[in-house]
Amino acid sequence: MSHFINRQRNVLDFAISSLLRRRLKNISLLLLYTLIVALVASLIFFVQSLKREAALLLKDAPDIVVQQLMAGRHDLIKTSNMERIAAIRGVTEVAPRQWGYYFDPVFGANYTVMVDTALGYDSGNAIIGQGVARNQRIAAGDIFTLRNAQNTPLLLNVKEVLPYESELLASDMILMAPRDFTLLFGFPEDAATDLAVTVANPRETITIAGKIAEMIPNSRPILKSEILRTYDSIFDWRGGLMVTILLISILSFVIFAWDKAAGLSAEEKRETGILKSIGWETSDILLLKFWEGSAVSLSAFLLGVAAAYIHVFFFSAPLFAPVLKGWSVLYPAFRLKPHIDLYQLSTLFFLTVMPYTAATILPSWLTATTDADSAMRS
Amino acid sequence: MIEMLEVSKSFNTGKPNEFLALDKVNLVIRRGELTILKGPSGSGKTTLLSLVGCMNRPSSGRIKLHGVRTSFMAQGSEAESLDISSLPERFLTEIRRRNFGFIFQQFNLVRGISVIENITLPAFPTGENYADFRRRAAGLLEQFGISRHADSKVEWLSGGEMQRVAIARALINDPELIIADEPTAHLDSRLSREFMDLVAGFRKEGRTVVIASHDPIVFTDPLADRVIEMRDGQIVDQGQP
Amino acid sequence: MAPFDTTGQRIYTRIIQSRDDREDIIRNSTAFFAFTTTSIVILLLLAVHALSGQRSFATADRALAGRLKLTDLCLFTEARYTRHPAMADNHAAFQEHPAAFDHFPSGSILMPPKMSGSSR
Ligand SMILES: Nc1ncnc2c1ncn2[C@@H]1O[C@H](COP(=O)(O)OP(=O)(O)OP(=O)(O)O)[C@@H](O)[C@H]1O
Ligand SMILES: [Mg+2]
Repeated sequence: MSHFINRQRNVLDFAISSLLRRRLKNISLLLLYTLIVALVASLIFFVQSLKREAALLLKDAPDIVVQQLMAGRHDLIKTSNMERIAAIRGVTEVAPRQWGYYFDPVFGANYTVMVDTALGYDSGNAIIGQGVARNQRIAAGDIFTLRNAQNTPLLLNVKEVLPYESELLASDMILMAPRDFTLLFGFPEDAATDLAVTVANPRETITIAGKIAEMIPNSRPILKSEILRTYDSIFDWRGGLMVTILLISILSFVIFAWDKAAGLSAEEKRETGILKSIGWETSDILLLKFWEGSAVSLSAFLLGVAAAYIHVFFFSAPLFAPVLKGWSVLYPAFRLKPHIDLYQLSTLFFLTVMPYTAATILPSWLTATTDADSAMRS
Repeated sequence: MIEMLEVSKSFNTGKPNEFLALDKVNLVIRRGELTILKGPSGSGKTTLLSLVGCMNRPSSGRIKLHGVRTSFMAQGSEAESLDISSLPERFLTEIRRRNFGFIFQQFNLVRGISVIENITLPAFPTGENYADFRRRAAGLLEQFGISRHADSKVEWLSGGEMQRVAIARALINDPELIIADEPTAHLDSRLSREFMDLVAGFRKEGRTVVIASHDPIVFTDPLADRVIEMRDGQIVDQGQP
Repeated sequence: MAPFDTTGQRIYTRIIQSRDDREDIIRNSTAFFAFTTTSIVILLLLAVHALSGQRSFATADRALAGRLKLTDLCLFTEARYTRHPAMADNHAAFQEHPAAFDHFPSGSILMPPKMSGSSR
């Protein structure tokens, strides 16, 4: 056993000396590799924690949201439908949701305006999200104006700014009393944007949704499971940006590593000959290459993952901000709740450490079988 | 210690440029003796050494080793003879590592790493304790007067110093047989004589030494037990027995 | 250069006694293990950080989400279908931001909503 450990350590000693000989090349290689791992791991951390947060926050989403369609587009729904839906067996609650968008031409931002029936303040008051407060440069106690449907200003008193933690949910929100909402948009009093339906038994949701669709022509019931699935697919491991970045980085790296390792220099071949001549076996040389490859790739993996964690959870992923912000004038500045997915990390481990180490070992396999006496002639 | 019976070695067998480098050579190398191979260039000295050193297998004939240390044979069978002509490469390497030390014409040092690392290189894959062979290496450095170069890179050394590093490396696993191919080719006559002094030391320690050389300083050395002359792949003079 | 006028053995013993300072140099493998262990410890500390951060998770947010019966996260405010992907029309085009002239980067991240009633 100690013989085994000694052999590994001795060969590792030489592997690192050997790497340090081409210090500049190998350190830049390590840095590049670390950067790639950090990028991919950041993406994993970012997406996984968003996904988790979405699942947690949307746990209390309405079981069914009923939309009215008009000519194939989302339209306002009559509140008179509420009673009929409530009468369906298994429905415990039907609540109107009144919400819409307000485009602020001065700041060029889109806000989500919503009626909060439990606002706790009279009309003329509002609660705003952090993003709105930042965008308008206002705080609790300030007054701000929105242009209403009659093209006259609607004055609103900021009673509260939603806490920083709710940024991911309500960064762009202005919550107001029903009367202000009606005034702002000229919103019909007998209508809602959509209806939120609560169902007693989750297993009946589909049946009830079917009944609603039958009862109200041109209505579109959206199930909670569909909402959750939408978010699942946004952050899908196999979807969109994720797979693109992953594939490109891994592919480019494997090509790069192969290119590096395949072109074994004459110097390296000579060294293999020397080692063989002084009593190294083929397996010893492969062990040496194994340690050379693992030392680089393991270090890159460990450093990269640590850097990714710090990037995403301590600094809120500044590298991804441009993509997230896109054209939005108002963007949420949320800090993600840390979450580590061991399965995905181990996938990343195998995708980074394995190909690189293999790419280091394989080409030297060919030279490692050269005859030992080749070193006697050079 | 080593017995060669009707050993031939041909290169590029079966091809039009087939070349018979050794032709039915019979040779016995006795324990504790200094054997010197001489002969013109191309006469097959290096080829013969590579066979003696278990670096290569003969095309025909048999090579027997007597009393070598191996880990794959039972301890008791040490004295028995071992026919290497049919052993797999892994075992040959094992024999080489434990019993032979090589000194090459080109020195064959690994550039970019330190002198002490070069010297300890053959000990790395044996799984021996690091401190033990480091200590032995330090002893060899001291013995050859190159201690102050221990941490220098080998490419900074002078030719004579490189030679001594190469010798120290050959000795690190405490071999019984030392094989040197043209060891003085890159040395001036003073250094060549110093080398022969070292060889005298090896013999005094009871090591067996085989040297291939066409340097008169080497093959006229009075210490030589036998000077074997080769020509065209054949031994033309077995020297004094 | 000292020839072998003393036996090798005796020289070795002398060296052992006079202990050369080279032994103090840290072995490469030791340095590598130290580095790897440090990195793993850092990762474990980060994992502890991740676990402790989760305990205080989102109670206030969940209350807000429940009160307003929210269906979407505020990730991209560019357009209706990026701000409320779960509520977006199934087949309607031109839902963009009033000032936008092309698609957004977020469009490449957002998959079309998967609705059981749709033909997709
Ligand atoms: N791998 C090989 N393939 C073909 N021919 C070879 C090979 N190795 C050696 N030879 C030939 O075998 C012959 C003997 O070579 P060897 O190196 O043993 O001679 P040598 O006596 O050591 O010569 P020198 O004194 O120049 O070193 C040479 O003619 C050489 O060309
Ligand atoms: Mg030769």
